[in-house]
Amino acid sequence: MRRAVLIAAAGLAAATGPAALAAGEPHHPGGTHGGAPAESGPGAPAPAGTLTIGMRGRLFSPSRITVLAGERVTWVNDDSTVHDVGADAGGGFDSGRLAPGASYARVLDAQGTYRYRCTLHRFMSGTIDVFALALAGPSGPVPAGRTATLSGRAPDGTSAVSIEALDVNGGAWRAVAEVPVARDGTFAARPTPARSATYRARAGELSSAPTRVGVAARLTAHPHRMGRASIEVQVSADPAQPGAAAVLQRYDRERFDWRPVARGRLDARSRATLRLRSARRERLRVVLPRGTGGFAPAASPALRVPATS
Amino acid sequence: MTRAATAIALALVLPLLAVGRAQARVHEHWIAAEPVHWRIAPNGRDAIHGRRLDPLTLRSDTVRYRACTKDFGEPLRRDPGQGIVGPLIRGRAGDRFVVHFMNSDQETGRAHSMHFHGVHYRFGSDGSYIPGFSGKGANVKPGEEHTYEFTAGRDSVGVWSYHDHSPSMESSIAGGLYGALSILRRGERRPDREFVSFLAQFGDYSSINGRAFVGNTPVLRAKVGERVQWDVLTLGDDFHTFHVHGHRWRRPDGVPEDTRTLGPAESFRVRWREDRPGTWLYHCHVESHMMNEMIGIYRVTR
Repeated sequence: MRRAVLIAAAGLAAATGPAALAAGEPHHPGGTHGGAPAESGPGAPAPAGTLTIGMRGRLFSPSRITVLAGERVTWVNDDSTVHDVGADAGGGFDSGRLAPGASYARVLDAQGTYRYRCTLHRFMSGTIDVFALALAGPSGPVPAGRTATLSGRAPDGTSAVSIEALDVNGGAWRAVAEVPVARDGTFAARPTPARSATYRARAGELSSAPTRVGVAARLTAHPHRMGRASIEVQVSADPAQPGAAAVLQRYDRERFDWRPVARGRLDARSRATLRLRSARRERLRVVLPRGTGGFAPAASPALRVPATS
Repeated sequence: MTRAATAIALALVLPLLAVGRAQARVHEHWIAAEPVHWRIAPNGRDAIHGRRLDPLTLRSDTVRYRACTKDFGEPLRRDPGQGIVGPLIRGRAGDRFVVHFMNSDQETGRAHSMHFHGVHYRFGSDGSYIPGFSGKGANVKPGEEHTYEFTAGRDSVGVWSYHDHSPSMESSIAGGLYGALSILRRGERRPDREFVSFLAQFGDYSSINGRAFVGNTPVLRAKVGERVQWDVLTLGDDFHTFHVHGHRWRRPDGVPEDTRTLGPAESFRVRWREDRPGTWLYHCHVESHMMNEMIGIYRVTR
């Protein structure tokens, strides 16, 4: 019971279990969550139709939006300090000082890219892309063989728009459809892309922002229990994705997230077998973090595997 | 008395004397301020509301405290529940502490320091910047080192924060440059599990140990029958109300509670013995903080 005087070692971290990886981060799968990574237009994390920009935390948010010419954009100072909104050279608007709670609105008529900043906070800036035509596609990849719905708006007086596509592997824009514009200015097109492609709408001089539509291969995955403590999952992709990396993921309840447990590659016949050591009940899926040949990331449906009986 | 009897008598008596005069320890640590690319919510979502988060807001380049081996040989591995928080420094009343600090923040090029709450130290180990008064320990430049020394008195029993108090303190604290000191009474039983939860704003989010939303915040674990100690601290601008589902503890005056308020730089520890299994939420009960994500899960199993 006698205690000698000790020089204790460094790093008396709480001893509650295995230490984390040196990087300090839980390993995170690349690619999809729940089957569908979000797709969006050029640099626009904001969904189509966002017309209000906040300033909380001294940041314009969303920092980049896409709007239709003639729409009103409103900046709201929901921060606790004074800001202003000033267009960079040629932009032609300046809100003057905005106290917390104040707002400023502006209608942007001409197609183009507008950069603006708060003159009081040098790092606070944003961008607005104004297009004369608006076009939006699906928010996630479309399974191969299905139609993708593109919808848009055109200014008054436009009777029809041309839908153009750019294949993901390059080339030139080519017209794929001519669609009429309804009286309220809306239009829709339903192409069936064979591979991921970018679309835009055109009417004379006017053009919309490009919108990307990802096409994903359909993944089928079949799990089998092998022996007491092992699960084997056979996966195949259609259209074929030979050489694509495949990741077996398990749903981790504590992380509320899918986590990778095994990796492989689809063979020349677009198939792979992935294995997991587990006797427990599992919820699994297989994802392709990157498609090959212009296909988008893909995910199989979730599989329930009962515990070893 | 025979020799054998004397030996037996001494063998019985000496340990009793030793307990009465148990010697204080000296704890020596090597802690660096290191730059880190931090992910606030690795699972990218608010799982409870099924909401995807804007990836641009979920990463930040910041600085954290990192324990290292002697003479800053190697960084030590971090505990999974530690998050951005620095190493837990433990000891007992009467112990002495020698903390070697190195500023390895070549990224921002800012000075940093260490300032300890609750313990006894001379001014040279205060670590807070007062132009014209404070010395190098309050303004340790990148590449430089400083050694802080302090002792834990009887009035240091409890849990306290330590953090940067250099000229860059405000941005450091907003970025997670803090940690906890846990001092037990002499002879106090050490808990089977000790959890450290720092409730603080981090970037756009309300965080626990620099993480936000369930699945990203520390998943804490204990077994039925274990004695648990929960150290709760906060730094920054806000008040928080710490609450754990399925549990309650007593205030110092004996009144039971299940939620306690703390303001910037306040801290407390609560203890209980686990008596049943469950998956319990722990969170700040300020509604906007809980929704914006100061919430985690605590799993008790048999």
